[in-house]
Amino acid sequence: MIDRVVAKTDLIRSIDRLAHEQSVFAPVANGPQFSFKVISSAEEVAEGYLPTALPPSKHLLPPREALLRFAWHDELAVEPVIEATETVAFGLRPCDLHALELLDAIFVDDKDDGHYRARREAAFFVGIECLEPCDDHCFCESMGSLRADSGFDVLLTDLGDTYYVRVESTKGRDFVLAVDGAHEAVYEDRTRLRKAHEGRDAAFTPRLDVAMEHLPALLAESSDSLLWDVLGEKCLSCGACTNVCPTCYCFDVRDELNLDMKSGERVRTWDSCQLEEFAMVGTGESFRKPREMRVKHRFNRKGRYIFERYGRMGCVGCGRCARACLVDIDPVEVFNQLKGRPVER
Amino acid sequence: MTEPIRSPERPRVALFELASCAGCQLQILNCEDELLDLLQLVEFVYFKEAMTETSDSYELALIEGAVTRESDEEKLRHIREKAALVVTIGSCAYPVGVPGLKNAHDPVEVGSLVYGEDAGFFPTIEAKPVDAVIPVDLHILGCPIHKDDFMRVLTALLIGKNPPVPTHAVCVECRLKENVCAFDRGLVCLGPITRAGCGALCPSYGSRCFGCRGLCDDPNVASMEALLEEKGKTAEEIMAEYGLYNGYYSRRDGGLKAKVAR
Repeated sequence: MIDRVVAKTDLIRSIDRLAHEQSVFAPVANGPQFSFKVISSAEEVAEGYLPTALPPSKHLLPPREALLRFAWHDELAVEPVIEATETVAFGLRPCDLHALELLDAIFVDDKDDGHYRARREAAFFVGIECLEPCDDHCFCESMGSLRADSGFDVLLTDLGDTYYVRVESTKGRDFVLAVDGAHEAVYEDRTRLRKAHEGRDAAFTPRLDVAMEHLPALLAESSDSLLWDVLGEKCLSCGACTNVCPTCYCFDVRDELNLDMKSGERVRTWDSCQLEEFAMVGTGESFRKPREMRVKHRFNRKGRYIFERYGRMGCVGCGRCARACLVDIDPVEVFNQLKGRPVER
Repeated sequence: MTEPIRSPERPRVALFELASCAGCQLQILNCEDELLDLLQLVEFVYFKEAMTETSDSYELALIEGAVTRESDEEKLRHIREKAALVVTIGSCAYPVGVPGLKNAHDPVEVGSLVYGEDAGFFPTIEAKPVDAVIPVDLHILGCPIHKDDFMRVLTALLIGKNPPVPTHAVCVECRLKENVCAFDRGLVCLGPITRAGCGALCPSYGSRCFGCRGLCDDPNVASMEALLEEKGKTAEEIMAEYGLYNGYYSRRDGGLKAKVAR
């Protein structure tokens, strides 16, 4: 599709109009951190934000959602709950776009989860490129998710007063054509885009001592590493890392009964492999009771198991888990230590 | 799996009160929209804040408050014999809550501070949670309990399902609310080792977790203490942190690490 260029002020006006008409989901500041929220005006949108406290996946796979409602009166009645609102998700970073593509591979291509799919189909993604690292925790470049080539309807690149808009869908074309003064990108615009990309490529330096492609093998041969014991002693099992992770999607399903004892709903809630109960079976045994096994499992999911199953990395290098961890467990350090850097106890 | 409460059509419930503020009883009375439905399911036969009638015949005993007198222990043993199911409500009954604060002080001094010259007429013992005296089937936690939690646990018990008591830490719920972590606000917080189920209520309103629900199933107390020390807390201050709500088990052999409620 034809790329366009829009003035920032025109795009903001357009987002403001949209926010009055429909659901627009965008990063909003909350003290020192940021959260994706449905906004009522473009003024609320935070520019230059750090990766949000919870990932944008919370829109497609909410932390708590009803899957079906049931009632026994004369007979059992069961109604599936499929709820989706047309939503513009504005300002998605490349790391999050990569994570959302992984979730699509799991919940649409592999499992075809109707609840997720309905929301995904009703969602319109406006990505925004990162031109400099957000902080010391981000390592998207090393995880191959600094650049986004798909998974969005439009992708914005900040060129100062204007945005370069890469258009990837017909919905995206309609979106950009609705912005006042949008014009086709010409040679000069492409040159400015290339310069912006060159600046970006110089600003992001590799942070991992191991190439991403070699992470699965590194993790496979590190199964007996003493590092897991060190991390197991530190880890609080508070589940912060998995709750904030944009690729974590594990959930639990329960039936909740109303007080009339005749009706209720089946509810899906986020779960975490870091919690003791996660791998517990009906007889009370847990397959991953020791904390170090749970920590090891998480890093293997991120750098190995998901890749083996879906051909995509389970970690996008957004750094959220490292920012959230109270005891400073950081995937960059973990992978580098497995590769041979000394472990500090 | 918990056995469903058997026999009568509507199981009889007695609510007993030990040392407490009675706030958890009030939380049940605050279930205004649900009370009529609740009374279709159970019959209250003793409930001091709500009714004058009494009865010594019941299937489910709810116990509010901490043990602070020898006579409380006798009372509990009697209740345990009578009731098929004993469920505590609130932090005083488990893990000991505010009544446990006195355990950090000299008992004679505490007695005379409260009762003055008459202290001799009011002999009290170390404040204990109910499960330090009799076996308890379940704890409904919190200071005070949350009415939704109370309803969820009660409906589960009535159909013999495992009551939905979280095993994990408050942090799990706090992160889902996208709160700015109390540690990032310059505070210390017991969220990483305290049992969830409150929806991270205190941290969500700008405060921090004081541990009113007791420890989670698998707390990493050693790492938590290292974290508190790193934040500049002395050993004494850490004990004081635990002491606000966990002033019984944190003072036993091995400290908090020794006791995890199941």
